[in-house]
Amino acid sequence: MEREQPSRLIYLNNAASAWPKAPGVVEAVAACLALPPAHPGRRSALTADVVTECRQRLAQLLGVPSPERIAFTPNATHALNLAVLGLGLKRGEHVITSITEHNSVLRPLAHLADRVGVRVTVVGLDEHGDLDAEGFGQALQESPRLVVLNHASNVTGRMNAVGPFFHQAKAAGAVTLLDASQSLGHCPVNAPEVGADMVAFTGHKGLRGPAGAGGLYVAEHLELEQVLVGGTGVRSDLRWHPTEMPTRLEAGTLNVPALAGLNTALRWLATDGPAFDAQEKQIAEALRRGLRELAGVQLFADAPGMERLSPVSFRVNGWDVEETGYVLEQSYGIVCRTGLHCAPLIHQAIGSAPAGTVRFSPSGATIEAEIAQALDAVRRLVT
Amino acid sequence: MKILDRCKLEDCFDGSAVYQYEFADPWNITRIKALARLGKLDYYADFPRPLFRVASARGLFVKGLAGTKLCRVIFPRTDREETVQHFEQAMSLLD
Repeated sequence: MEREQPSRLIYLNNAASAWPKAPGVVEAVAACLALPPAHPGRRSALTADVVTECRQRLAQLLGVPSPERIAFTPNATHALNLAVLGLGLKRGEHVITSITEHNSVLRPLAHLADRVGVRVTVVGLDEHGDLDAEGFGQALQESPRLVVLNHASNVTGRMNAVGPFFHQAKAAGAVTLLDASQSLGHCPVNAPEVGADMVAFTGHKGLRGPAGAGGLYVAEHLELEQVLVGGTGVRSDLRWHPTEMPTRLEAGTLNVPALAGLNTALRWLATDGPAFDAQEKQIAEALRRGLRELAGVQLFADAPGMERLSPVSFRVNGWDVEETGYVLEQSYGIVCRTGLHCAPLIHQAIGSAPAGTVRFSPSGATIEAEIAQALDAVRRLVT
Repeated sequence: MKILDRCKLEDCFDGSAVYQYEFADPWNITRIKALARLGKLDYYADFPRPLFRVASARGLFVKGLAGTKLCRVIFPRTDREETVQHFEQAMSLLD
């Protein structure tokens, strides 16, 4: 995915959806659509079982032994809903989550809080910007059934050190759910090592596959209640939806073309991912450093020494964040994201409430000339 | 300037009113300068695609690119209908 010349559009919105996709993804999706559909698991002479292969690659990536414990979903939001709603939480039961979460976690929990009476504790950040370990410890005293944490903030790019929190939570008897929407593909996400009983992910961000394919890993010792049931294409003589994983959580036709694309992206990631990620880190740091040097630009959650992914959140003096995004895109051809980024709670903690931030999220495909152009555009806004 | 179309745009905030307007004629420098009647006008002629923005005392924010037939308008939460009428009437008198 080497590029030397800037494209007409400078794409700095990879935290929303990666672009360009991994090499071969477009062709894999097209090839899948061009062939007669074959049901996954019912092998066809015409098509390789890309779904099975994709599951195997993901299991390897997540460090888990059984690919069948990964259910495919249309996206991470769907996966998180299956996980949160599938635990069958009852009135008065307790859930712990964090202020850094996306609405894909916060809204299912709000739904359970308001309609079922589940108690939700939202852990904040400490003075260093880390998850508040003391607050988390206090919340653990209230016997949580579930702890949901994201691996990396989609607003600040900051990684949450989830391992110690999850191991404590498991010791306290809770089920642990990791939202790896931002991190998978960018950094190791080893479910057993970090103590995650479940991992929700999407295929179109760090994995650089197409939109429409995500998934949920569920550890062997845990069986979720089925939230969605219906057609499976197999064992149609049963009155009830099959209970074995992954079919247990996969109702309806899978998005096989998207999974074919994701499978190709995973193949690329296994060989070229580390170099791509190293390039992304370098580019992101150059961007962050450049923004930091601009008078009139305020960076959020920019303390040194943080382990972080590429997103950088900022604001330009004299320009509303929405206006900044409009100018950058319309006048300079720079695609970025502005506002709350679907993570409304974190803005109180990082000082960007109520309007939110402008977010640049470059990738390993972003080149230095594009970063220079983006920095120049921001500089011209403040001068 | 004759308004051809007005469509609502969504943003991060419930209850906000962001609209894109399409006009029959493009924003030339005369029309852009005339926007100063609405409020404080900034014009950035040196941007790759020159941009204008207006902030009015009524809480109305307008922005767009010179040479296009579009602009984006953010209306305030209070007195919204009156401000919409005020803006659209001002546009009709712009030429």
